[in-house]
Amino acid sequence: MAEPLPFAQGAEVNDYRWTSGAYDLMRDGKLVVKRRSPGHSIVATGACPRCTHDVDYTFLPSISLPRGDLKTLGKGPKITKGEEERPTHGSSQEDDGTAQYETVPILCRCRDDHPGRPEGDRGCGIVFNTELLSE
Amino acid sequence: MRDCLQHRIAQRVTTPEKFKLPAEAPKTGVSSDLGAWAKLADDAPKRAAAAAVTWRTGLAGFVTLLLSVLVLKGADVGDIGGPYRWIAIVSLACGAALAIVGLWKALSAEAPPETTGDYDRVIGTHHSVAEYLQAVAEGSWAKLRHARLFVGLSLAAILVGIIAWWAAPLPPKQGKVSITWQTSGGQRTDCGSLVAAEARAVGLQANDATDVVTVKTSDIVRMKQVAIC
Repeated sequence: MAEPLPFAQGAEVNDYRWTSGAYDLMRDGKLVVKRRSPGHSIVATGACPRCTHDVDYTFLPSISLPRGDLKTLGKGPKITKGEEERPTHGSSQEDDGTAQYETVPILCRCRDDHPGRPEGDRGCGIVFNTELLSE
Repeated sequence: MRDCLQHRIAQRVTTPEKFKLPAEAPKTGVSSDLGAWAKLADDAPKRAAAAAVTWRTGLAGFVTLLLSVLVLKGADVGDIGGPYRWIAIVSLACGAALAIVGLWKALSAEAPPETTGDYDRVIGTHHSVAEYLQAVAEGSWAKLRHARLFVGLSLAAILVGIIAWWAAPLPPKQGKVSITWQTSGGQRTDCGSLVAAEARAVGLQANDATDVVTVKTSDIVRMKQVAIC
């Protein structure tokens, strides 16, 4: 039985080969990245370009957040969809002047063992970009 | 036939791909940001429940204390007169009721009521279970906001009640009298509670004495009611 890959560290985490590998896997139908509907969750299922385990990733663009910038007697942590900063999503690019593509980073959140992974974390440690047609 | 084929080919050529090869890899730090974001999302229901527990505990103590004070000292409000009495009674009662409603809201934020759910309905409404759990957390925060609103209103009502209680004019003290009476050695004045009043004599218990002073009504030179001796 093959040794499990160690948890990715340093430059390996966001190496471009994972992005190009993920594109190949998507083209082969082995990795699927979908947005359920505009403004809602992004779900990635299928092979990770590094460890080949199921990436099992769900990105919620809008979540319930603790707000530290309000006074004690101010409003509570009110959640407004789309109000919070989206860390990396939403960069759209035009293709041939018509189609809009959105860059969506995907984390490997597989549940298989990867030595060196922080306690309570998931995945093999890599992140890769996908570029999806905007709806 | 040929036109139809040409149309289909043209349509295929112009239909954009659903995805394409990205030009660059994610920037450094994206991995840790997304990991932290995912953890924030995973912990949202727990954070809402923990905040609700804190509020529930504090509010339960506040309501217990408030009701204890009202039970022990509430009857004293009946001693004050005029409109102040009703302002104090209504304000304190409203304050207690609002605090109890706030406690109820905090309890329901801590433990949202369970119901029979339909998977298709949850997915249809929230698009995913993960988003549904975020909505549950948001619901708990909304109930906590209501709880805080009720507590704020409760405090305001209690404050009005206390101010009305303090500002109310004190009722006149009864039974304190000052009596100036003739003795063999001259005139003497005693002040205290009137404990007996007969046709021929009155009984007066001075504040600093345990024995009752009996004064013949014929000896009384002057007698007046006073607030304090």
